[in-house]
Amino acid sequence: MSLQTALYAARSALAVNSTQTSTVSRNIAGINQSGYARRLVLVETNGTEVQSAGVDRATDLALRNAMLAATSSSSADSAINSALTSLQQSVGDPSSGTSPASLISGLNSALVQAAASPQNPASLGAAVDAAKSLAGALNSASAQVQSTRTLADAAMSQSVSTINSLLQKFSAANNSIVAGEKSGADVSDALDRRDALLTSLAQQIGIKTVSGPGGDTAIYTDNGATLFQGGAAREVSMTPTTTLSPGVAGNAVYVDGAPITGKGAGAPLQGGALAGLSTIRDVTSQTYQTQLDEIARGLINATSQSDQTGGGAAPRTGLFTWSGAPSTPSGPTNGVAAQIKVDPTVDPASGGNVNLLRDGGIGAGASAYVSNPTGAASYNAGLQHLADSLGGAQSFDPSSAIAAQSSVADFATNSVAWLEAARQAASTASTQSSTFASQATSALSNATGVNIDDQMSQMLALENSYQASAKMIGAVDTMYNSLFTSLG
Amino acid sequence: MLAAVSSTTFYSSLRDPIQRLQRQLNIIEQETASGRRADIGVDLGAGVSSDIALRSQLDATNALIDANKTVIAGLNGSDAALSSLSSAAGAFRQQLIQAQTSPGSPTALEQAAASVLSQLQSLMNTSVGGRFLFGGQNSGVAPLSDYSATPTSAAKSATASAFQAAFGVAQNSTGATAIAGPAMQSFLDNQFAALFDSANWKANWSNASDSPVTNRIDATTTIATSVTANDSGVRQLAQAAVMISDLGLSSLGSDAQKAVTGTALRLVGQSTANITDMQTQIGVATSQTNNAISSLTAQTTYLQTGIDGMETVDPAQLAMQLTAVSTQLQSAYSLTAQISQLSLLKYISTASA
Repeated sequence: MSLQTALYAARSALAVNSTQTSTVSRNIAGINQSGYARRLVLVETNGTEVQSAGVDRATDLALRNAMLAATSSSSADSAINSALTSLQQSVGDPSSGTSPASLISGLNSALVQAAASPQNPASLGAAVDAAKSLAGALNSASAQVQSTRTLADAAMSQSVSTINSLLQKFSAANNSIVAGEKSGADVSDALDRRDALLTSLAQQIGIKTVSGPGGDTAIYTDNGATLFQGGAAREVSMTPTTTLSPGVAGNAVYVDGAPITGKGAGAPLQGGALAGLSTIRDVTSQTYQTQLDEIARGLINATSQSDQTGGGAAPRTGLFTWSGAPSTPSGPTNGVAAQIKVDPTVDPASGGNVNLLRDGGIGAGASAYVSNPTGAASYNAGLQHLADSLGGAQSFDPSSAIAAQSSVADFATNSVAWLEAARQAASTASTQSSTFASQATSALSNATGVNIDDQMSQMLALENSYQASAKMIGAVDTMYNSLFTSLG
Repeated sequence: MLAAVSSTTFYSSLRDPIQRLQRQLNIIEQETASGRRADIGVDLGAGVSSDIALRSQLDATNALIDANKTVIAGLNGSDAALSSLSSAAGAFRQQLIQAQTSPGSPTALEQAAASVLSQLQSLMNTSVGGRFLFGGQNSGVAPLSDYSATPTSAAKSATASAFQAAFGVAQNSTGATAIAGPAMQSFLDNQFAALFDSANWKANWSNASDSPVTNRIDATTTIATSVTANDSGVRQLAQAAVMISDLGLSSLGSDAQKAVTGTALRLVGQSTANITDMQTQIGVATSQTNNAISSLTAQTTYLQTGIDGMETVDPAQLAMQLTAVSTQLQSAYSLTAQISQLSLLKYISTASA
């Protein structure tokens, strides 16, 4: 071994050292960059010299996929949870008495009190007011449900355009990786970018990734539709609906013309905000709306009036009326909750006569339905009958997800319970999945992220080896000098 | 290589726990302030239906109690009116007995009877909260109209024409003196008594409905909570009072007078017994309603306990939670502070300085 060789070895060490130093600097710079994976310079020996064999980027595919899945389900759960919280405003705290169930109970109490003093227009008026609050609560609950659905629809449309733009960016990053891999360039930064895009995408929609040859990656939705394959992003589309009305389904999300949400999709989308929002828009809110409509229909039926003349005329609407009055709804009907109101002929605020509540014959031309023809002031059988009817069993739509045979009061109570149970489940699921997502993110960060102390100690080692190499060059120089001096 | 921890995780690992603890602390604050669960819906889930059912039952029970109090007010009013009526009938009876044993001035008796009649009318027209207590179901109009009103009431005209038809003379006319005792007795027992039978009473005297007011006093019991001005006790007293006051007692012969006062005395006696019956009915209804109120009140306590059990939080448990959470939060803060001190950088810079 010659002095020349030693000099070359020391020089190559300095060269590798500078690559390593710049990598450490890059690692430290990336410490707060989300999705940044630490690099490590691969060093190989070439005879007596060392040289850099490229930069290795830390990856852990299993942890990354776990993180993507956890992120998707967390954002789905959180979308469901926040929508249920907004639906819950239609119910409120049990003590606030704002839920349809509490207001039915309020109407019942007012009727019981009116039955004790039926001669008193004030107590009849109180019952009519209770009925008005109840109808108003159903109207606003129905509006709340539809506004929640409309907001979900708008958010879905927003999500679809985010997905499209992310897919475009993904396509660019993926192409530069494929090109870089071919030419042997350092593609670490592009890989970082691509991973960060996948995380953003996973928040919007549940995805699976499949790595292909040459650094190419394909993306599929978690129900199997292709989002990105062979370097080409597919078109995701959805037509937003400006105003959704009860019973009308929103438009599905399509990928390349095939639906991935709603009834047309083979399997439902599992993760991502899009899945959560479509569950809210097409399932949860629809079911809740059905329940509200059935409560309204139940109330119209419970307060309907029967023919008192023996003429056998069909029952007609009484205290509560709707767009189809004077007929009562023949079966489950969409949108009754939005239409139900107190009949104006019994409402003093609309110039009506509260005594009709006691005597019967509510509505225009309803003289055949009068049960107290003499107008006796202490007649209370009609009021008592109304209070009893609220507790009488009726049949409800089985698709409302609540016991189909119950009184309208119990049905309303069960509707609150259904909503609160859904909210409890969503709240638990959301807490769990967000904890899981943050654990998965930490695990991935631990596996591929940067530890500043680790980098600093590497830096110290690099400093030392730099000093040693420099010393080495100096020593060789001194030796050459002594050699040349003795020769001279 | 050992499993490393990335700096991001290292420095931010306490961020989530601190947020969670602060949320918990916030919930504990709310629950301590209100004494109730902060979010009953999320805590109870589907179990919230029992809570709402209990609340509805409580509302219904309270409404029944309030309704029963209204019923009691009416019953008390009826009872007071019947007591006054009963004592008026008793005093009238005394006067009649006295008149039989030592006949004094028939005019005084006539006046006493007229006053009994007007008392009867005003008592039967007692109203509480806009409801005429003795009107039965038809409680919106005063049950009895004024007998001596102008223009002449239907009842007074009926008396006059029955008298005229039977004896061919008007009351208080000179011809009336000649009416014999048996003839008068027969008139009183037949034509005159017919004026106070149920049908004529309703036609000439009363606007009350025969059907009493009924009220539901608890979940299952419905009772009659009124007696009406059509009751026989009321009719008999009115019959006796009109007999004395409006048949021209002072212008009758003594036999006829005896027949009149004797019949009146008998009727007042029957009437007093019947009024007592009415009072008994009212008394029974009052005690039933009061019993219902007591048992409903007991139910509300029970229901409220059930609601509290679901909605309230144990203050002792809250205090313990508060201690636990704040201790945890404090250690999280102090750990965060310590972790931020832990950096190799500090030692390197110290060493190189």
